[in-house]
Amino acid sequence: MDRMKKIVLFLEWGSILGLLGCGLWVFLWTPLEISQGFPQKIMYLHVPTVIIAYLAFFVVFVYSIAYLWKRELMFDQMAKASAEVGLVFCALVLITGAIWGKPIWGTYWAWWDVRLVTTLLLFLIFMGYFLLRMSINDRDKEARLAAVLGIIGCLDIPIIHKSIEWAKGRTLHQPSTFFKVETGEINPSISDVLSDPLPVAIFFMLTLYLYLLLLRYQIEKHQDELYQLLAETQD
Amino acid sequence: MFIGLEYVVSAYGIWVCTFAIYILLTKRRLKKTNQTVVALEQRASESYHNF
Repeated sequence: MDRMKKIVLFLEWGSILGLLGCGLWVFLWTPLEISQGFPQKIMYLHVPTVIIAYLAFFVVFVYSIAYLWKRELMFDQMAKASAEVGLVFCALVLITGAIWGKPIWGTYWAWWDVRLVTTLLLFLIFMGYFLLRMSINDRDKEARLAAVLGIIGCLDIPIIHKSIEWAKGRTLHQPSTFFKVETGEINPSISDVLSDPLPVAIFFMLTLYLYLLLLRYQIEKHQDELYQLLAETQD
Repeated sequence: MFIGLEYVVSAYGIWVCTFAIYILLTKRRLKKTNQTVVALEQRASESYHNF
């Protein structure tokens, strides 16, 4: 078995077992939060999904810049792979957030909530990213234009993150639970027993992301090999 | 104690099902592209030898 296969297998089983363990921790050993009750358990799913979606799109940002700079196909393959995985995470952010919102806010969605709308915008930008890729036949032009759109799309992430501070009163979201908004200092407003599973869930969701990224990257690599082989056989 | 259980079950259920389906589809795609590359390489080398 080659090295890549070993790493993929390790990440696959590490993330599955780790996330299963996190689930057991959250449902069996973490007490109920007083104000939200049972729906607060969605936090352990929603927050890590948000962080990994941000990370996936940040990876798109980095590899898109690298592609525009160096023009190496490998950078575009990584950006495309990360964008697809990020899109799945982003869709789940919107879905789990809406489900969490119903018992807590009394609604699944509010069009006036800046954070909700900017997150939806991020999702739509990256849907457009794939439509753009599908509509161009020239491989180099596709990579170039997708890299530009990928960079522009990622600029929405700081806007989503800071939207609560910038648009006071136009959001249902609460200010950060773990940081002081004014100074950025760590200042958790929930007890340790409730916040402890969160970093562990983020870690195992990161392993899931890396696993999916490697899987998707291999597909991209094979597809480009395929186009090259087809071009050679046609010649 | 379990008020709001249906929201938690649906959130976790959708999350798990989405990734289970996504992983299965991605693995299948990888297998297919891999097989196509191997088949095409084989065909290319055969036609080269025949030539």
